[in-house]
Amino acid sequence: MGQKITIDPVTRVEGHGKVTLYVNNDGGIEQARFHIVEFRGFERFVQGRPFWEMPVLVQRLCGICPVSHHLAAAKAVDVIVGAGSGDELTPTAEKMRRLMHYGQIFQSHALHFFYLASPDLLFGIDADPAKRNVLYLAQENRDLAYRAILMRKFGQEIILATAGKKIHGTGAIPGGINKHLTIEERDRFLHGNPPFNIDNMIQWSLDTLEFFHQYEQKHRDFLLTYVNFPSNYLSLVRKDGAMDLYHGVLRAVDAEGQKILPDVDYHEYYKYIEEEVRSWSYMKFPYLKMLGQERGWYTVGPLARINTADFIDTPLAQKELELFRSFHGGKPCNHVMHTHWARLIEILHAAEKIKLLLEDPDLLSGELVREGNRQFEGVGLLEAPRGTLFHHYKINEYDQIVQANLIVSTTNNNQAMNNAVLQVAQRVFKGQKKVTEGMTNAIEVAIRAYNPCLSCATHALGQMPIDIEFVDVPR
Amino acid sequence: MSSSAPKILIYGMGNPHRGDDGIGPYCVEKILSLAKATNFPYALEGKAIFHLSIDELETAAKYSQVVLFDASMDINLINFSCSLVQPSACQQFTTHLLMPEEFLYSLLQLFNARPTMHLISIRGYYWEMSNTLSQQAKTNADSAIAFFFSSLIKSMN
Repeated sequence: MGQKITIDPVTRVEGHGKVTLYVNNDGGIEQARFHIVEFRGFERFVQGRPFWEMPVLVQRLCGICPVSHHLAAAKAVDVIVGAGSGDELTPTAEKMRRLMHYGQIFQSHALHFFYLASPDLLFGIDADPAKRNVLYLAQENRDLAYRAILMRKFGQEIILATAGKKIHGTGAIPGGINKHLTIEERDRFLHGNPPFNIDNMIQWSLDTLEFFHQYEQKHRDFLLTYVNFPSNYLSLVRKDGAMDLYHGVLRAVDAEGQKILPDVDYHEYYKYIEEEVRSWSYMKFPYLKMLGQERGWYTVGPLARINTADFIDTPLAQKELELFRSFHGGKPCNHVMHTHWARLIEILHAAEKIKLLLEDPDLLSGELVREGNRQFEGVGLLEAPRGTLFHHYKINEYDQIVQANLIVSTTNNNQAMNNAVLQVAQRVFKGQKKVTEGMTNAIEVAIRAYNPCLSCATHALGQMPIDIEFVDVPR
Repeated sequence: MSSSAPKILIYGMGNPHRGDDGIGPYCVEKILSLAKATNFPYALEGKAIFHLSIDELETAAKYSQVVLFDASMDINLINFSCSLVQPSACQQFTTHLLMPEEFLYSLLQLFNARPTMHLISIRGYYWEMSNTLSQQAKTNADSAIAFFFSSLIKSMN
């Protein structure tokens, strides 16, 4: 006899997903599946559209991270218009795009940590669900919530200044960017009235890390034991090994830190990465070809980037990286809950990068667009807030898209999230006869650490809840 | 303008591509245009948004008066209504959007700001994909705009 328990709705993930747990006769969890039940199909319906529409069209698949899709598509289209393979734009164009991108990283990470993740950390996994949200956070810790709102706003204002809109902007165009930063915009971000300036944002980023350290000291066992398993990690890194969220080469390391994908040209990603389809989910399962489906799956996102990069090229974030590495004995961190720590390091790094860019005069003047010989294929990759994002387009002689492939950050984390769900479910549900709301939220806490964007990952209209379903396994 | 003159923020809420749901954005656009043409005596800013969210709190905290224009599906509504919003901590399952009462409560809680907030609900009739308002909705919206200039502004002094 099957048992079905549905939680509807559950908040604090982006998009609509479902978890199915297969329960054996002993009450143990035999199998866990994290399904994505929405379908979008952008790869199909962009076919026939002119390629130059891609940066503004494909970003419509998401209202959460459109900047990432806008820029990844623009990078692919840069190749098609002959403007280079990612690092040959004009200095102004590349720096304006980087400013847009780091603004997105800053606001998105702030949104996730403060709005989505921190209520679980501060109030507990099994706290009253009515309290596990940012409004209750505001009642309990006004200062934290106030900072959360302003940090997110700061990043959004950076996006507005560079992309023309906070959501679904139009700044990046084939071969470059369509505007300079004005002196007024620059000065507002650099020297605006406190707290709305970049120095204050850097300080708040440091304060948030300090907040996390205090939390970590009190909840060390929880963070280290909640969910952990060996994983491969994949991200872009700069050619010299530095963390670079906008451009670089593809690197993957295994759970011990050995390079298993040695800094390859991302334009040939298809030589190294394959996508597996499973019948029960609209989200594919990517893996590294040379390791096969069983061993080749990998994790992307903040934890992956911290594990793959040799160093960070901004001093405050580098100092924090050294602390992180020291804590983990110089090895990659396989503790999923430390993704929050990695994400906060990246908030700080993004703030430092934003300041460096704002101080660069190239933003205020210089050539905006570069063109060259038309190509018929373009690949664009970048490190979106949630991880590595792939856009790949092929066109015909009429400039129409004939093939598109998107591998979205959350898709890359598919197997890792399934593993996390299984591990937490097997522990939390073991020997329990009654399923409580806190137990189901425990599974979501593991999923939330990855900050999945499920609507992106399936390319959806609809509601937002995760449903959790329990099914008895017949003997 | 005296320092005690009201600083007014108007929000037009709705999706202008879904027929009469665009009443709010229509009102904001028209009010700002009329205010500019008539040398409106007070500080007035306007913004078209899909719905109220946490992200708007910091902006709204700078104003003494906030007026929300929103489309209504209420069949008992003749053309429009105006109500004074009271703060309330009532919570829904999502924090992606806030009800006016929660928005006002959060302004007080987080920014120590307590603007006077009015909600003007305007009857709409047609909600499918369209960039234009139905004629009756437009008439209702124009009545609400006239009320804003003739009665509501006076009450703010």
